[in-house]
Amino acid sequence: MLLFLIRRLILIIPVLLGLLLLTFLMLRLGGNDPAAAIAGDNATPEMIERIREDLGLNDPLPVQFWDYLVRAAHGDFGVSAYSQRPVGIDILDRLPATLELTIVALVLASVLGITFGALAGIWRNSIFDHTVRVVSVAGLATASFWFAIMLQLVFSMGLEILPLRGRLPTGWTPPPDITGLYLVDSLVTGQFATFWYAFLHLVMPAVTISLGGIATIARFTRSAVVAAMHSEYAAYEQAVGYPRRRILMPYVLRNSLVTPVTQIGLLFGAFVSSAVAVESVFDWPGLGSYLVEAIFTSDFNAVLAVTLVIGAIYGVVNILVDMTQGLLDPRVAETM
Amino acid sequence: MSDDILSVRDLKLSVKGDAGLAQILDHVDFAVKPGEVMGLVGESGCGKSTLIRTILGLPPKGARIDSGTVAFRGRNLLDPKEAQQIRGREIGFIPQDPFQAFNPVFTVGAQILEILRWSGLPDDPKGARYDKSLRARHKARLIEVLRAVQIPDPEEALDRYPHQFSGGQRQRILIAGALATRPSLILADEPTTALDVTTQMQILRLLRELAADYNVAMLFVTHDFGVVAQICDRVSVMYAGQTVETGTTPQIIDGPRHPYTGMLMACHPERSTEITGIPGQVSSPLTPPPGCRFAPRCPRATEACTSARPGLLNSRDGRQLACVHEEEFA
Repeated sequence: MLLFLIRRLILIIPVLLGLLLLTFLMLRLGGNDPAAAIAGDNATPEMIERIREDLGLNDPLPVQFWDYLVRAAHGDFGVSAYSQRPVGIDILDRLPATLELTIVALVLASVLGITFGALAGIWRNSIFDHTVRVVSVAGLATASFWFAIMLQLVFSMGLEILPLRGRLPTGWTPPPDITGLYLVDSLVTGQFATFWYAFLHLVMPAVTISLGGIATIARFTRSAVVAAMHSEYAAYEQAVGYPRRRILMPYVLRNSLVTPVTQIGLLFGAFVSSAVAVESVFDWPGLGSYLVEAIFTSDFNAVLAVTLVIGAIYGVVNILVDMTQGLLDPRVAETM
Repeated sequence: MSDDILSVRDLKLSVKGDAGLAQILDHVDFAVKPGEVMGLVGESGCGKSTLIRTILGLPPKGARIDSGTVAFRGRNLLDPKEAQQIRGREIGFIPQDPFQAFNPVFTVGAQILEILRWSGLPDDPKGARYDKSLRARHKARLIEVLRAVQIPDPEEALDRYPHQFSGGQRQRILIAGALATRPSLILADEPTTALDVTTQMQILRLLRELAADYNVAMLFVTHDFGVVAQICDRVSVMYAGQTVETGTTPQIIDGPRHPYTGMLMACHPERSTEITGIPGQVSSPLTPPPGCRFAPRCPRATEACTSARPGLLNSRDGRQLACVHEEEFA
């Protein structure tokens, strides 16, 4: 298992290199001039040329990429053209907000998706099952930014029960920075009012992001439960006298979790990319809104670094997923 | 009659499905006596699986009992509550495919102990809660039967997963699961079909020995007369949901009287030099032929065969036979 972990961690490196190379090429060949972005609107051509020279933008592309890699390997991701601060610092500022949002969304999607999916599978062809299926198709087909705006209209503007934007009310002091996750930090320091507000602010963005995930997980869980209930082993368990409830839990259910768990890993990637749009709508100070700003301002250093971080998170999450599968299925564990 | 362990009398069962009413079982009739190995022979689709599930008190969805009885020592297996008490506890079950019957993500020990947990042992303390000491008792019993089915190192085997065993070993563990609760009847659903020939032989020998050692009766469902010859004391032959002939194994194998029994036996590759078959095909249970269901394929069929279903008659040599042409023999 340890060897598996090390091997998989090492395998992330070439993936990230490829990801960086692709992003790098797309940015450089895209036609936008990062030097012009840094110089600002009133720059003279001479100033822009000097910045190009300073940044090494006149070097051949392979040399530029290599220089970037060397600097990145030392933890230097350059300065953001937009915030004028080191990109690394910006990202550390923003990352916890996105992590908190996507983790809560993932937990929400897993719990609701597995519960709805399992019940729909057990009560196959019931009204509940049909409802879950119809709603999940609708959930998959809904554009998240549209759904976000609808939530805002109903719950913030209309009913006024949930805050419209941000992580905390304007002017409210954030909890001490321990993990950067407001829910955790406020809880461990006993600031329950802050916890409550942080939670209220999380509800709509997290629900928005998890919507498609709930639907996906529910559908995979449902079909896995249906298949397991019609399996030979379920028939055997019945024939030798296991009570029905016992067959469902744990025997059918544990078997049915293997597929959805894979989906949960894949979904995490989808959640981070969906956070890009959702964070903008909810003015959530995370990596997603940072990335959007960076793209609009041709802030190449920021775009590259954010891509790298998201890629790394995705890689690590998938290793975690594989290890969870090993826990669920002994046959998978043996291949580790 | 009254000393039968299992008796299936005149069982007629139909299943309502999308395509209509399927008359799966049509007057199935046989009994299993204490300690004997009874074979139940028929081709695929003759209603064996439905019959097995009905005996276990788990008739298929949409099933309707039109007539007849199924009783275990006089207790009604058609009553779901009664059947729930009997299956697992007093009727052990050996499934067809040891590769599919285990849940792959649980240890074999956990799965077999689960049978003991819900069925208990006859000598368990009355009303005892399922706790560590009861579980330890069950585990000891399981290790004992695992040893009886010749699983090496049974203590260690309990903590292993199904895929870590060969098919033959898995079938041995499932046999142990059927024996563990000290049942008086074991229902074996083609337990050797999924195994290769040499393993098949070992499993059959083991079953034969265990049935004698534990004095347990067995209903052995199969489509293979070779298997019947090896293990069964008596055998009952089914065609398309009808019992056609029942007798001792030598009677049936050496002197089949029902035309179907003879033709089915002739299909056995070891019994004939050329590959033969039975012309025609099994009728659909949705539209069964009137009278004897074998009549459309039977070389001896006459008008009498299709006018009424021949009754199962006791013949002079003790066998039971449902054929109008053999009535004079009966």
